[in-house]
Amino acid sequence: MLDTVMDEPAFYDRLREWTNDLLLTANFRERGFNTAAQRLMSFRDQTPQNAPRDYPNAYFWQNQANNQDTNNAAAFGNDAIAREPLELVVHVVKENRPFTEILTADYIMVNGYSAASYGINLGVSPGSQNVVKFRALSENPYFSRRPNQTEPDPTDFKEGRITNYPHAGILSSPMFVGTYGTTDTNVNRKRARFVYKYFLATDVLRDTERPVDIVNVATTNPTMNDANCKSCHGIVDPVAGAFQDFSDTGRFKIVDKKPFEFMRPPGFRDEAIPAEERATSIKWMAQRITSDPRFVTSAIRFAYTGLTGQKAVEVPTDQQNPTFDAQMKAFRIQTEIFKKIGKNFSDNGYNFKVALKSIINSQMFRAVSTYGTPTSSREQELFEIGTANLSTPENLARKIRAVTGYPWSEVGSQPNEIADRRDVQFDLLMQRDDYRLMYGGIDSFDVIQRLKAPNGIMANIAKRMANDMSCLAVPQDFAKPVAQRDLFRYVEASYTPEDSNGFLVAGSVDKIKQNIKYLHWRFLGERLEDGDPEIDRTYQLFLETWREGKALQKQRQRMNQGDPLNCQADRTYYTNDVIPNLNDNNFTDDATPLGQAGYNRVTSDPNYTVRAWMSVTAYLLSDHGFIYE
Amino acid sequence: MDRRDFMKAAALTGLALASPLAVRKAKAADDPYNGLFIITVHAGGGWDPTSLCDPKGYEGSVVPDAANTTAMNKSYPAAQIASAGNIKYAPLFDAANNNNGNLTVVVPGRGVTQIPAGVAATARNGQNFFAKHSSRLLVINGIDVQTNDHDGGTRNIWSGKLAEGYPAFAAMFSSAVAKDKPLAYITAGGYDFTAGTVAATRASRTNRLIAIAEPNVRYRNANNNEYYHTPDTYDRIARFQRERTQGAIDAQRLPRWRNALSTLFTVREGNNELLRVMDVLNGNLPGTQTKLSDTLNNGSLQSDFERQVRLGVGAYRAGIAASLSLNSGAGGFDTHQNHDNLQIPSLRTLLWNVDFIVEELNVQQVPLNKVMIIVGSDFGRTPGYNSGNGKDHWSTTSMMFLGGSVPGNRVVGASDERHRMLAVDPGSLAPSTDGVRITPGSINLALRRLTGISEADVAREFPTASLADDLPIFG
Repeated sequence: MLDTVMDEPAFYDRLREWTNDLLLTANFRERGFNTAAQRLMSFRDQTPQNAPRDYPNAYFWQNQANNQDTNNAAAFGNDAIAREPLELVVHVVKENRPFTEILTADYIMVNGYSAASYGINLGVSPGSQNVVKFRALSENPYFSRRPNQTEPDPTDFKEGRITNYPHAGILSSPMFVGTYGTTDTNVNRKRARFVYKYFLATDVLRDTERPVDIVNVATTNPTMNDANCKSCHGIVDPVAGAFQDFSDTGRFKIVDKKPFEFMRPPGFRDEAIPAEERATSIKWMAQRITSDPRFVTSAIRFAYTGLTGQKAVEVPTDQQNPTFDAQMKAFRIQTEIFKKIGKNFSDNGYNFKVALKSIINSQMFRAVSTYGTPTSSREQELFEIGTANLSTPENLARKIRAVTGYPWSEVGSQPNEIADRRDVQFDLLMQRDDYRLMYGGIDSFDVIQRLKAPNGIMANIAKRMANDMSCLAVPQDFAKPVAQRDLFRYVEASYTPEDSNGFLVAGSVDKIKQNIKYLHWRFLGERLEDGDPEIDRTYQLFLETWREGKALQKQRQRMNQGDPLNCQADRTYYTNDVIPNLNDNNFTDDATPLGQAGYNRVTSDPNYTVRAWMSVTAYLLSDHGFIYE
Repeated sequence: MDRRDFMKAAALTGLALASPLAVRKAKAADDPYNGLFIITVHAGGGWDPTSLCDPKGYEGSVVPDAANTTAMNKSYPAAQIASAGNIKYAPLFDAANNNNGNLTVVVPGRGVTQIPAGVAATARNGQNFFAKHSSRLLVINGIDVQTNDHDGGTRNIWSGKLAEGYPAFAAMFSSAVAKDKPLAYITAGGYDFTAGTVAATRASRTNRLIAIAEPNVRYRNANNNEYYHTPDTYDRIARFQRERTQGAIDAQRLPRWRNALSTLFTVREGNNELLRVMDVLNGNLPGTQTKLSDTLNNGSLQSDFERQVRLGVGAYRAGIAASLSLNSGAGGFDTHQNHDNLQIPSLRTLLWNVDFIVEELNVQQVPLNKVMIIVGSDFGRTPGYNSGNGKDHWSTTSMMFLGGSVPGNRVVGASDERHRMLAVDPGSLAPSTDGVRITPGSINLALRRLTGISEADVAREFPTASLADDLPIFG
């Protein structure tokens, strides 16, 4: 089961997001159009004025005549450059490679567009006849509206190599190194700090939480000599030295300069980088980091945070805190569990999927309740147990699609629109300025921490989503023949709970409850037995809404008013084809392929069941079981 | 473990916590909040107080050259330090000191602008910031932030605690006075950790706010809105949902799940109050015929910062918000290189933006005594320059307070000529070698007392400095 899930594209979408939550390299996509490509384009010497560029084709689409909406390269090239380190992680995991390869890979991940930007010759470039190595755009339904369908599918990434470049996975990625800039005085310490934090499970700056007394810092070169400073700099500075040939913006070029005399020499722990390995310092460093036991710890923490949305428990530092002992106990328990998972991970060739499965199979992840009412001290110990993870906006968008069959989107249906309803990136929860940030997401540069708990705005976003999606999905689903439906597999819109005299229609009620049971499973993953109180509760919602509607219909009839159905299905959502009316006397549309297949438009609701089912659908889509994981 | 410990422990593990008490309060909460409104502005990266409100100019009259690494400043001589009332400030913001025409300011939305000679740079109405606001301004200098780490410094300044796990003061304040309001704590950046004490809301973008204020309105028409569900059906869905979630809370034993469900329950119950935002957004900007919501989208405001302020003040007027956290909107202050050319324009922009807040209060007719603006940064910058003409991290810093019941025209604390913090007498606050240092913890303690939340549950749950650090900072 878990293996199957880990083959799903959605799993890798999540993995990309976990990785970006850490690395934040998506800032090169989010900051503005072409930011990543322009960064590569800027890699050149300051002098002479017309010094050659490292990547003269980085921004190759800038001279193309098409505008950005119709130019595949503009849309896909920049994105591929920006997410290259994320694709590396996905590639390593998908191919069951050792997870150490995220730092030791002697390649960079490119798609057909970024390969051209980097000047990597895979025998392919957009527009060329040779497209054998990348899938064609036409093979990916997300991009069915894109022009030039023979051009490469942007989601198809391959290993590529830049000439004379010391590839060391993420560590040498221009996007990673460029995200964590440096200055002449910071001299790569910031980069070293994040290397420790991300890949060695060590937050060196936590050490500076003990008060630093600047009044007593009086020595010259304090980072080398002062006790207040050298405890951190002693471990940070050597690692920083491995980045000595990367510029502040992430450009790699070996420059002829002496090592900094005011810093410890480049190296790792007690080992200095040999002079003959200067050109490949970063590769040397990658080997040392991945051989360090803390790399395993960092990988397990990464997996845990990705799965649960929670940071691993840190060793408590505030001994004055009355809960210090309990926190220390929680830290030790989690550390022990992580050690076991880490051993399993390294014994299995550093296969990241093994780490994920170990966490998923642990009580930390699977627990849904506990026996009896826990005491307050027991609660302290149980804090790390269970998930209760608020869905990220990205994941909620995918869940909506997976469950209802439709996106929460305002992308139009006209064929001349490039944005495709199949492409999840256009969903309202994915768009920064629509709901992504308001629903607690990040933009990787201004907002970099996800909200973990809902607020009033987010609760209302969920309500609106539930209403909007019920309005779309219910009539669309009823318009399909039963065999093709996602939601209403056991009922027709004509199934009412009571007849016109108010008597129970037992057969209908059974079918309605059967469908409710199925919806609880489909929407919330709840496997309920017949007669479960939750089925009865949902049925009661259906029944009361239906009765209200029938009374309303009678009232409107008495007053000679119509009974308009606001949420209709007269065209198919994705293809915009007219759905025939099989109930009228016009048989022409009945003969269309949709008519022959049994599609029947939903433009009215004489039995008030479409609207009753809308209430049920909205109820389930905004349920806590849908919003949390 | 008592409830206080439980709450704190939950916060330390990053858990959101909403107690059944909060749920009951939420149900009963209909009164609009009209107490104090806190606005915090964070100058991210570490500002240089010696170029702002703790001025240290260079000695003599000759501008130190690029190779000089010991000068305190290269932009103004000590002899030209300016003052407004009791407040001294760097003479970088006066029209009178802008005669050479080479000063720049990053005007929000307009990029870097060369300031014409003789034009004031940091406030509207032809005044500089300090001249305009000194009577309401309190400056604290010589604060010992105890770290050179960005995260730690930011945390300490805004939570009063160097250790992790304590809420930002703005979050704590909202939790104490308006926890049940749907936008009790609005954040658009800065240090906004809540420790689970209150729901934080990001409302930096406003174009979708109207849609979600009324989730059941499918299309908005002047006289006849189109709804997804009938009002009765919509209420019914909410009622059934409430019953189901309450049942799940009652049945749940795992604290993480129970807290998550309780939080959702609480925020759902407060949803109707979002309609008050609608009233404000749909109302005209006072004194104009323009809807406030239109001004958020029509380009009349120059930056996200200004839009965030307008929305935040609007939410306060609606009675549903008690605090707002903002990033300065002034770019980076982490000027390890080319310090003067980068830091000073950022400081001008910061002051320009803080001045905007005061102006916006005037526009929305909110008196300044109802609003307290707090401005701070991670830490200060080194006395002297590095080889890149930059200044590195330094753990002496300053903060500025404006409005509310803050006693203006007042400077508390001091630093020496090399920007080392000076201890102060705990009674008079005058520099004293036998005195105590002013720390973020002592400021936090004084702020709690000034704003009346010292005895609130949330304040007790997160004790800050000891009573020995209790200083009469605000009188």
